[in-house]
Amino acid sequence: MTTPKTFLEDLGERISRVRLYFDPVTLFFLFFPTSMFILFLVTPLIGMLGIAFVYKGAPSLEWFIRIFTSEYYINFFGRGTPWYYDEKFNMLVITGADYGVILNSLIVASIVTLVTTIWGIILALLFSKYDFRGKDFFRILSMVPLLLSPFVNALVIKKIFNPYNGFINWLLHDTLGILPFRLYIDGLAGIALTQIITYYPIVALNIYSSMLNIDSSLEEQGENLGAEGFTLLRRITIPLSYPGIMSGATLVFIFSLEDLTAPIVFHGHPLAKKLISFQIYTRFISETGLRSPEIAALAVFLLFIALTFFVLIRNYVSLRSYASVSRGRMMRKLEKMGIKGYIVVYFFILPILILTSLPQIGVVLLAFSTRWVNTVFPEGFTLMNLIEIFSNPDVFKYLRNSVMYAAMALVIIFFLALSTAYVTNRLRVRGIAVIDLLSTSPIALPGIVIAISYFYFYATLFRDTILDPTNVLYFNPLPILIIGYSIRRLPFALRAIYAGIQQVHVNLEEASMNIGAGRFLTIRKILLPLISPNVLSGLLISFIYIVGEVSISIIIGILNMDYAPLTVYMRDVMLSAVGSQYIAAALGFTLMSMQLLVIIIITFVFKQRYAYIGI
Amino acid sequence: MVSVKLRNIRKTFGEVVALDNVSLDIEDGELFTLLGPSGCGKTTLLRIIAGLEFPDSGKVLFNGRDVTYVKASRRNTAMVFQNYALWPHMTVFENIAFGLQIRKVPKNEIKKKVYDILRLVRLEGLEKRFPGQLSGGQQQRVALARALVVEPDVLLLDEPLSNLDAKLRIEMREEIRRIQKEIGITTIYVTHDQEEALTISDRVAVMNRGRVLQIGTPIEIYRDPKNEFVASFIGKSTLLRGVLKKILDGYGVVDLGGFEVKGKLEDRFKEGEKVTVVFRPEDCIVGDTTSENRIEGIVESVMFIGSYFHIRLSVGGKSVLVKAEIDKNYNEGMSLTFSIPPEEVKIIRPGDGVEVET
Repeated sequence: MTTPKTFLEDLGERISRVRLYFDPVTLFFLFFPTSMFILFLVTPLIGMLGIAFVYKGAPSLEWFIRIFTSEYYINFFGRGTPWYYDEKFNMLVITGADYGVILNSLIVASIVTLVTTIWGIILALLFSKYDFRGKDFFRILSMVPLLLSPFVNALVIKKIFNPYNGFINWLLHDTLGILPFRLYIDGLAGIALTQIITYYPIVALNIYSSMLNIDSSLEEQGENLGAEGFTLLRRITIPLSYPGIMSGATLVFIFSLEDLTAPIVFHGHPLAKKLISFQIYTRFISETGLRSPEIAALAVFLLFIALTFFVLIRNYVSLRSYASVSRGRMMRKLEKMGIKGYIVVYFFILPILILTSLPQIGVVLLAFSTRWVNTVFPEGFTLMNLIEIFSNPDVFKYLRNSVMYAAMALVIIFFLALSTAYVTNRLRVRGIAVIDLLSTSPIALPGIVIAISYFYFYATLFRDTILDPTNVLYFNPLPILIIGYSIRRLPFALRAIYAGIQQVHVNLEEASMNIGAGRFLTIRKILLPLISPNVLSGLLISFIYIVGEVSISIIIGILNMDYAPLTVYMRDVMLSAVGSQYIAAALGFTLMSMQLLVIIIITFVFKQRYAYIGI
Repeated sequence: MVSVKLRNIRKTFGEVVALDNVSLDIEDGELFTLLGPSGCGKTTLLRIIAGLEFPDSGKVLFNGRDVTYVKASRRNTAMVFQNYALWPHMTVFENIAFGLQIRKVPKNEIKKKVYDILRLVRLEGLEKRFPGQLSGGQQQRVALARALVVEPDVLLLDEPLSNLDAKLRIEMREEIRRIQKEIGITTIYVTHDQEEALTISDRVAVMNRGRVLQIGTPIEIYRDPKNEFVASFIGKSTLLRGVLKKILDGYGVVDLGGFEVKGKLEDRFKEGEKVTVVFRPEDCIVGDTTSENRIEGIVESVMFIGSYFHIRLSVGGKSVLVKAEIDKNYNEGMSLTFSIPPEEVKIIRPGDGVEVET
């Protein structure tokens, strides 16, 4: 029988046990991500709280009170009408009304979320339930908006909807005569439109994968009990897809709130400036020296909304991930589409899908245009824009900077993602959930919030060093950008690597350790070779999204143009002389080509699915 | 070679007690089997011996040396996993050579050892294949070879045959037995298959609900089950609860309500105590009307097993299983008399709460 242990024996055993669980590799895997997250994610954000909640040296809600009591920020009655008809020009003008910065942001985000979610559900249902001619083409079209072309795609949308020589008015009003008036979309409405077009694939894909995971027998059981058509959809299919719907919708809501590119492109219209993200950005750019705590308060508010949604949805999704409950999943037979279905698909769905791919098509056209200003189509084509970005050292510099930063960030991301994915998958230690939460949170944290929290963080802790963003002469953004990119774009690689580790049976590693290999050797010789396709795919995706990163780039990277990344230059070009938008488009084209190449490599070389964004 | 001693091992997963005060002595060179239904804790115990899990309390001793908190990679045990856990990105040769490479064995020696072991498990010529290109039985042999090639102190086999079909299973278990005896390695074998356990083992520990209920040679376990669980889990037997009426000279007469049976007392009992009577179908002599322990019952069902029948009888409302030759016809509803020699009837304590101390 067990004899009572003495205190010393007990202590000895405890120490042995701890030493067993935490070998050097495990310790590094725990310590490295945790310290990175604490240092470069949690601390800067908390530091920002310290600025937002302090007034005249004392803790205070002053800045928040200022924001919430000002009509500039919140105006329940609204100013102006969201749309009106201009008789003189026979034009329907849609701009949105002004309810103040905060409400505007929330309204735009809500509309964008609602529309993208409904449209996402329709598309996901179409792709997961029906078989029809041209389906592959439809699916590719629906992914086109995922191709990154920061700023330029918004610019093209503006161009396409231009009331006089835009493609839409030319087609629907001038040529076909379907529209009895010209359509003019600008201001908040323009931003919402841009965001809807850009973000709907995120919702659609999230819902689609959720629907694919539904055990078809669940639906068949529903049918068997007499539910059909819309009832089946409403009672069985859609509720079972809630995890995908909710996470997709949440992401889009947050992405809309934090988006900077559309407001920057549309900011010619005064309403477009009255959004939280733009306010933070513009006052940050314009003010020099000490940044106003009011901006910090606004950022804290944005952070609060994003974090609340993120945490709620994560709990909800993990609670509701019932798609995987049942076993013996069978692929449901896809339904053949009837004639009515074909009419809907080709005359309703297809035109919208084409419309939503127009920005990317437009970017390509613009990249090869000699001139495209007051005409529906480009006046002529040239290769000069593309040659320019590779031959002009002043332009090429930015592309080179971005690629270099991305490459360096990938090294950090590799270790961060591998260690996080490993410990969350393999280690049964209390507190792992915190690492899990921290590592996935950057997907939902507004980039602009991270960016300005970095600004305060480095300006305070590294005052008068080369890392001090207020140090006009010697500031070097390189380390800050690399670390920022590593944290912000970690979730992409992490997701892929996590999925990889999940697929490797733990016995394969145990067999290796059992036979005498330590943890390091086991990871290097067994685990990594087995998950190398996932690792490489994940890193490539992170790479693309680093090169296309906007928020940290244009807040921090702009402060020393020698080190500025690609997106800073794209923004500058966008805002400057008219002629230079072709260069921005050529850069956008380059970025999209890189992304396409990555997708092709991942799909055909690594045989992986191009992981998209999700919670 | 190595002897393995387990002392008062306890392991919980949250609220669930996986192992409850388990102690075992496994001799040097022995093939020792942990037998029990799924969830009884046998695999957890094996993983604790391998160092893949650590007990909440208790000790693991190899040759008397405390290895409870020695890492898996330093224990020199070798485990064959239920799913074989062959590394799919390595060839058969690379899989087997891995452990030797870790041990920094010179290259030409690795080659020799791998080919030797391939011969032992009869896989010559397959060294360049990948695991995916092998049959289940071949994969099993590779897993065994990979474990054996590092000359481990203890070989651990976790349900190694459960993924094979019935015929191959019998072939492989003879193979494992042959190899084990050839090398003389201390081996701990986990299975839920009692037939496998009885045929392959030197000794068996029967486990249930995280506890060891009986340890013994296969014959001891089969012939002398010490408790109801072992009696019902190993082979087919009839278990009847009753009251001990009389004790005479190591034997007892049990009142089973309506009829009486005489049997051997397996424990110290007092008259009037509640006991369980156990006997095997094959010990019943059907049609015998002259000997002691004559019992009459009504045939409830007849199961054709192959070379014999199993007949379920209803005796005074109780169910009894007997074995009968196939030379006669038995019909449901007919009455049947059988006898059972008292020395084949075991009188044990009801329940399975008997804790076996080694």
